[in-house]
Amino acid sequence: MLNHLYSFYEELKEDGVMFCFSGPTSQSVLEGIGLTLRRKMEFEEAGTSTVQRIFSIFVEQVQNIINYSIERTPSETDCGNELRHGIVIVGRCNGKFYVLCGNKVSLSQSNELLERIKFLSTLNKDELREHYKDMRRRDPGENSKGAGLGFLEIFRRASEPPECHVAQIDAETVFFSVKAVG
Amino acid sequence: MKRLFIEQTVSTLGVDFDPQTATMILRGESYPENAFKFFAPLLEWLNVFLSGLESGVKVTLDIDIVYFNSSSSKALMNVFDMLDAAAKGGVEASIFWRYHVENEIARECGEEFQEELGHARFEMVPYEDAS
Repeated sequence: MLNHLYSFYEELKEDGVMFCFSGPTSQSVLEGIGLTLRRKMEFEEAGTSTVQRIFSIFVEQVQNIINYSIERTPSETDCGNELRHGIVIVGRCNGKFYVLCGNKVSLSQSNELLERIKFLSTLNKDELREHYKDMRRRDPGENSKGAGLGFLEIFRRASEPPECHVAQIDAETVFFSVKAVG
Repeated sequence: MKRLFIEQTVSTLGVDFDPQTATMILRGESYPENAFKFFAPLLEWLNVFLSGLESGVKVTLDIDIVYFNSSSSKALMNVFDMLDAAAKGGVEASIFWRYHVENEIARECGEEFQEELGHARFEMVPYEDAS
């Protein structure tokens, strides 16, 4: 790793990666990277609404890892303050910022997410807005730790429909990745 | 009834709910790890405060939130619903939604709350940088 770190660093830079974090994720990681991300985008003179949209996508994506990743420390307990693992990348490609996040989920969670994403992809901006207002008044699903609005928020703030990818790990586990462009 | 005061942090709102002046202030940003946990004491305070009010009393909620995440959005909806219900019962409830003119998302979010309310007064208050 030592001998390859520089080439890894250069590779990330060539791909337009501004941040890359992999490992146990927490609210303090979110806050720390979030503040720096905003400053970095302000230095690059991104407009207020671009900064806000990317920040919003970033928060929802990272909180998805914190709430739903099944890879955790300590590994066996659901003690409430365990750390959830995932990878977070923020970069810039063709002048547009993007947030790319991935973490392990169960196959059934993954199938639910794919269904949800497929449905959200069929909605235009106005329909997303109405769906958001409607969902906000409903009780969150039993598997939801947030308000069940996270993906909807990402779809609303993204400038094009977010893309996802599923990598099979074993019969019950997959690595779920989502890329959203601001 | 006691005043509810919570210091603002990076990801949680500054709160100042004053029963003497019937003014509730929310400032900052809201994307805590657990929005329900953060908002629970606020909702509880409002519930007690509003239920003790007589018809015609004026109450004001003054909000300037730069950013909030999706679970905070749901919690804020609950706050507004409580004021809306109080307004339906005769309380004169006013909500001032302050936002920077360049913060398009904050404006949209305000409008999306405004559309949901039927009784409380919900006013959009844009501001510019202090010169």
